[in-house]
Order: sequence, then C-alpha cells, then structure tokens
Amino acid sequence: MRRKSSVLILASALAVSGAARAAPLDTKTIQIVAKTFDFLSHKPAPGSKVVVTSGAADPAAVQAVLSKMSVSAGKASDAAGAFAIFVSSAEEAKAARDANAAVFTIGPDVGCVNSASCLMAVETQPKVTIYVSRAVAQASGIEFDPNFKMLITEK
Amino acid sequence: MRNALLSSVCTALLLLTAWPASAQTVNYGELEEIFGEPVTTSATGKPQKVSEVPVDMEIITQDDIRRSGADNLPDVLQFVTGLDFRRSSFNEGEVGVRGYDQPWNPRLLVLLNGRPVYEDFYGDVVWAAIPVQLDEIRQIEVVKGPNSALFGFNAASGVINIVTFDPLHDSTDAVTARTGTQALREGSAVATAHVSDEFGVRLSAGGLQAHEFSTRGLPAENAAGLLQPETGTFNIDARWLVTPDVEWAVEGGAGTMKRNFPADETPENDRTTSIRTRVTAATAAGLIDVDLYRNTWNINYLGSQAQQAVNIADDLRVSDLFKIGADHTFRASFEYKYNQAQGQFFDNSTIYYATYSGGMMWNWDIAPGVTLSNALREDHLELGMKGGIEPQTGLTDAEFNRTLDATSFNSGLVYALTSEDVVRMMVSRGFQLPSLNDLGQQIVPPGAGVVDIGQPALKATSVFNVESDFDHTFSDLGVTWRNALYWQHNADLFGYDAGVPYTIGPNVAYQSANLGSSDETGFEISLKKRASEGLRWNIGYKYAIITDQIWSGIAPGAYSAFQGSTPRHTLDFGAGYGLGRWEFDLMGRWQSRFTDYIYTIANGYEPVILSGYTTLNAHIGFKATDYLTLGATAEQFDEDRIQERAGLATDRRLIFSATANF
Repeated sequence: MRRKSSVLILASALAVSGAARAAPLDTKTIQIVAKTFDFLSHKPAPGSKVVVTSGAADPAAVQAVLSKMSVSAGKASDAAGAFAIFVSSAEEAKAARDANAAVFTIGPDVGCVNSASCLMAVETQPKVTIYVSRAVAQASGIEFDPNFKMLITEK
Repeated sequence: MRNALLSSVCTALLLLTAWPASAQTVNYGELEEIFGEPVTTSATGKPQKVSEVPVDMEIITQDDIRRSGADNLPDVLQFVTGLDFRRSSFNEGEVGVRGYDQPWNPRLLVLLNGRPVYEDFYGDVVWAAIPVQLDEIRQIEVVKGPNSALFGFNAASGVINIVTFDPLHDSTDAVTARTGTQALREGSAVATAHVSDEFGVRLSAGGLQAHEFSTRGLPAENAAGLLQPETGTFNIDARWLVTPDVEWAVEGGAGTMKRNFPADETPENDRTTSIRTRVTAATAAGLIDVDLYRNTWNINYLGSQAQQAVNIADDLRVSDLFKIGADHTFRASFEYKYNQAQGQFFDNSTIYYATYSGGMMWNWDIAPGVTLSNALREDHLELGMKGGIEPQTGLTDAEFNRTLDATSFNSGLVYALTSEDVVRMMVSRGFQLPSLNDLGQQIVPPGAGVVDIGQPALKATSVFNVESDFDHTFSDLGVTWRNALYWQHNADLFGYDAGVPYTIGPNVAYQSANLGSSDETGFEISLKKRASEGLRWNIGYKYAIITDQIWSGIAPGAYSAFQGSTPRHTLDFGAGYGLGRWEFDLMGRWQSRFTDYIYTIANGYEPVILSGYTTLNAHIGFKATDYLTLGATAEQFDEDRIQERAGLATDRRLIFSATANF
C-alpha cells in the first residue's frame, strides 16, 4: 500500500513538474512561430521586444530566428511592453498576460492553449499543427489572417 | 440585365475597398513553409493542408515540373496515377481523369488560378493556348472525381487547377530557351516586379514553332493540309494590397495556336484572350471574394468546310468564407455566367445561355483528426438562339427556349486513424454540360457534304462517384502509400457525331445525341518518395473497368463507345537522383490496349485497336552556375514511334534547354 502511494506521489510530482516545465522549444518550432507573425492583422514592428522565460526556449536561438526583434531572457512579469513572450508553463502565461494583456504568448504544449492560458502552441511531429486559443486571442485583441485561421486548430 | 450586374459588381468593389478588413488571398509559399506541405483551396474553397482535403488530390510541384524536362502541361500530367493520356499531335494531348478520355475531353475542368480555361465552344481544354509558362507555376492541383459542387459544370471527372507564383509574395524571373527534334524552337520569359510592398506584377510570354509528327500511315485525306505547330501566349498578373488587408488582382492573357484535331487531323487556328479582376477582403461577415472574368475564343476551323466563330463567356462569382465557432467553416457562393457563340458554325446566328448558380459548403471538425465536409450547388441554365435557324436542320426556336437544372454535391469524411494513417470516404455528383457546338451547331454546306447539327434538347451528363481512400505515410522512409477504390455511374452521356447518320437532301447529317449510361469501377495504388537531394522514386497502378449501356441505334464512335476506349491497366513509375548540381530522372508509363476511332469522310468512324505500349522519358539537369541551368530530355526514348491513338503517331523527341534564373 505504501509502495503504491509512493508511486502515485512520484507520478503526480512528475505530472505536475511536466506540466510546469516542458522541454524548451526547438529551432524548427521557433521558426514556425516566427512565420505566424506574418499572418497577424497587426504585425510587429522591427525592434519589438520579445521575452523568453527560463526553460521556454534558448534566447539565443530565438534571437537568431527573430533577428529584427529585441530578444531577451526574463520573467513573466517582464512581458510589460513586450510584443511576445515564450513561456514554459500555463502559470507563466497567465502571469505574463496579467503584466500585459495584449502580449502574444507562446506556450510549451497544447495543454497551455487548452487551458486558455497561452495564445499559441505548435506541434511539429508527426506533422505541423498550430493551436490557438480563441479566448486568449479575443482577450488579447490579437487577430490572424482569415485564410491562416482556416489552417490552424482553434481551441 | 448584364449592365445591372456590372454596376452591382463595381458597387461591391467600392464597398469592399472601403470596409475595414483583415485578409488577403492565400500566400501559398509561406503557408507551405509553415505547415511543411502544400496548401490548396481546390477541394472545398477553403484553404487546407493537402493531407486533410476531403477529395482524392495529387499535387505536382514546381520541382516535379522542372525535373520532368517536359515543355508542355500534358507531358507533365501523363505520369500522374489515375490520369489517362494520349497525344493527338505535336501541339495537342488529351488528358482525362479515370477513363472516358476522348478526342476533346469534355469531362475535365482545368483552371488557371481558379479561372476556367476550359473551352465551352467545343467542350475541351486547349492546353497549348493556356497563357502560362512552366517556370511560373507553383503547383498543379489534380482533383480526381467530380467537384461540380465547388466549380460547377464540367468538373465531372475531375479538376486541374494550375496555381502560379504570386507577384505580391514571390519573385519569379526566368528565361528559358529550348531546341530539339521536330525542328523545335521554343522560348519563354517570366518577370516579376515588386513596385512596392503593396503592389506586384508578373509578366510572362512564350511561344514555339516546330514540325508536326510524321504523317506516315495516315489516310491521305487526313494527312493533307496539316498545320505546322505554332503557339504564342502572354499573361499579366498584377496584385495590389489596397489596404493592409484588401487585395485587388487584375489578370489578362492571350494565346494563339495552330493545331491539328484528334480523330480526323483537321487543322484549326485559334486565338484566345482573357481579362479578370478579383477583390478579396475580410469583413465582419467573413472572407469575401468577388471574381469577374471574360474569356474569348476566336475559332478558325480550316477543314473542308471552313468555319469561323467567336465564343465569349462572362462570369461573375461571389463567395463568402466564414467560420462559426472553432469547428465549423462555411462557404456560400453565387455565380452568374453568360456564354455566347456566334459565327458560321451557327449559320451566323448566336447561341447563348445564362447560368445562375448558388452553393453552400460546410466543413465540420467533428473531433481531432475527424472532419466532415458537405457541399451542395444548384445550377439553373437558360438556353436561347438569336438570329434565326437554318431551315434544313429541322430545328425550331421552341427547342432552344429551354432550361436545364442540375444539383451537384460533394460529401467527404476524413478520418486520421493515426498520425500516419488517413481514411477518406466520399460521395459526389458532378455534371458535364453539352458544349455550345453540341447544343446548336448548324453547318450545312452549299453543295453535297456532311451536315453537322446540334441538339438543343441534350441533357447534361451526370457523374455519380462513390470512393474510399486510404493513405499511409512511412515517416521514417519519407514514403507515402496511397490507395483509392471507386465506383462511378455516368447517366445521360452524349456525343457529337454519335447518332446514326441520316440524309438531308444530298447531304449526310450527323446530330449530337444523348447515348445512354455507363459504369466504371476502378482502383489506384501508388507509392511515392519525394526528395530534392538523393533518391526519389514513385510507382503507381490504375485498374479501371467500364461497362456501357448505350441505347440501341447509336453508332459506335469516338464519342459513343467508352468501355473499350479506356485502357484497363495503367502503370506509371519513376526514379530520380539529385547530386549537388546534377539531377537525373527517369519516368515511365505503360498502358494496356484500347480501342480508338479514326474518322474519314469516306468511311465515317472506324475502330482501331491500339496495342499496349510503354513510354520512357529521361531528363538530366545541370546547374551550371547559380543562375543558369541546362537540361537534356529524351521523350519516348524507348520507341521511335508510338501509336497513342488512331491517326497521327507520336514520334520520339529530344529537347535541349537552357534556363536563366535571375
């Protein structure tokens, strides 16, 4: 019984930590996210601020892809004044939106979109699927090109 | 009526440009980069990833076109599994989807960026006169099976949409020169100008001169008077982002060609022009598309009874694409088309029809990986003849004053069983409309000869298709395995020169007629590995069996006997290797025997059984510099001559090309 409880506790801890800390986004995912910016009604200006929280992605990799933007490592609360933020958890996404209601939040997985915490999450395997939260988009005032919206999975 | 419509369109354009909006037309290139696969609108009118469309679709990419080494569209299409192909002459080839291929195949709707290039006069596609150069094509979308619910009449056996690069988003600048056997002299040029971030224009032009294939073995009357192949085309495509979100496109094209008809090798000299304007904008009511075009054909028939005619088709299409909630997409559409032809084919009278159409598409994402698409369209056609009727034809005004209604539909369920397995279940109905010639020609020679008479009472052919597909992707190998099983019922088939000839005075008369029905059962299986570097290969097989139920009293001919005229077995295959600056490709096609018909004045239609044959093509490409690519292609290198149809045989071709990309 004690052994079963230990397993459950361990599994729960792993699940929680998994939800809180997913693997950092890889370069392919960052590139896809960057291209989706071209399908925004209000495209970011050169030099726009982009924040990457710890564990969300490698800031250097994000800067390499978003070469015309100002990318920095930071916390969720640094979303103030930022155009976009890469977050590693739903909690960070919510905190970022508390700091800046209009920020474009990119989460680690579809769960973050399902919980209406992140605006966007991207899967690249086995094929590219882009998830977007309608509730977050509406709350953030973010609008995508209608043709693009036909190709994404809205939640 | 037509002026009122034009005024409405202008008002709509002004309103659209004034509305706040947040959309533009599909940026194929960037979307393909994002999703890692081609994007298309040819299935439902909605942008979709090709792996998710509710139809059986093949995409031919620019890479495929270049590596084929071909210099014309039918030669590119002939290696697609499920397509039938027979070359009629140097400048003309017939492409069919799933059998029923005929001289002048009327069952396949071909579009250039969504604009029909189908010729309504005869009911066919004059491939060489399409104003597009191979270098400016992004992708060719091949839909197998009816899709009239989206595109209307003549999307009966399938649809081919040729999608070019977008002058707003893509830069295509290329000059190609070709020479080869048959004294080929060919050139094309494509240039794009990005005047600003909001305005782009692409110009293209091309042409060829060559010698016709050898006439050895042709009846003397068919060999006499053949034209030497000649083609010239021009196109302009300008797109303007009026606001960040509203796009206005203007396209214009022209083409001229000399060709020799299938079946009787009659020469003809055609000219075509087109003009199109289109506005796309997103409004609170959805993504609205207003599309207006005019296609004009000048036909100069140079047979024993020389005839001229002009065919003008004006078409207005309006659609609204919108989403309700996260899972439901709708597309409402309206179309008005006015089609008329005037000239000696009609005893200098004018035959016309107006078509009013309305449709609705509903795409429902039922669950992750499960999508249901339904489309329904109603077409109402009003036919008429102005200017009198040749008395000897026996036709009356009352016969022309008629209407025709057609209800077409497409329904498809796409179910992704796993990340690598997709099942599609589809049922659809499409329509093939009789051509203007089928409906109303009145050719009566002054002396004794052949009288050709249309039949205004013709019914449209309906094509009912039931299909089940299964696709599997071997992700580790990069190989796609596709399977399709289908059954088709074709009702109210019709044919030109199909009835039993009768006499009017000293003349022998032929009249278009409905013939009966026909069923087809078939399956296709293919494996394809795509790769720009290293090894790529493909193999596909099609089996089709057709059973005609032709009414008694109908004489067999090229347009009235289908079960023997479609090869039962077709195999296509290819392999290629990309190595640095070099590309090597081999393509092949084998088909079993079939029956074709040759026409002579003396004997009418006579059946000819054509043996099965294999065509092998090879292409070598060498990127000499970053700007210059050289190519050598051997078409049909395995055979000096192939009898692909009764009549003119196809000769081996060697093509040498140089393409400069800027």
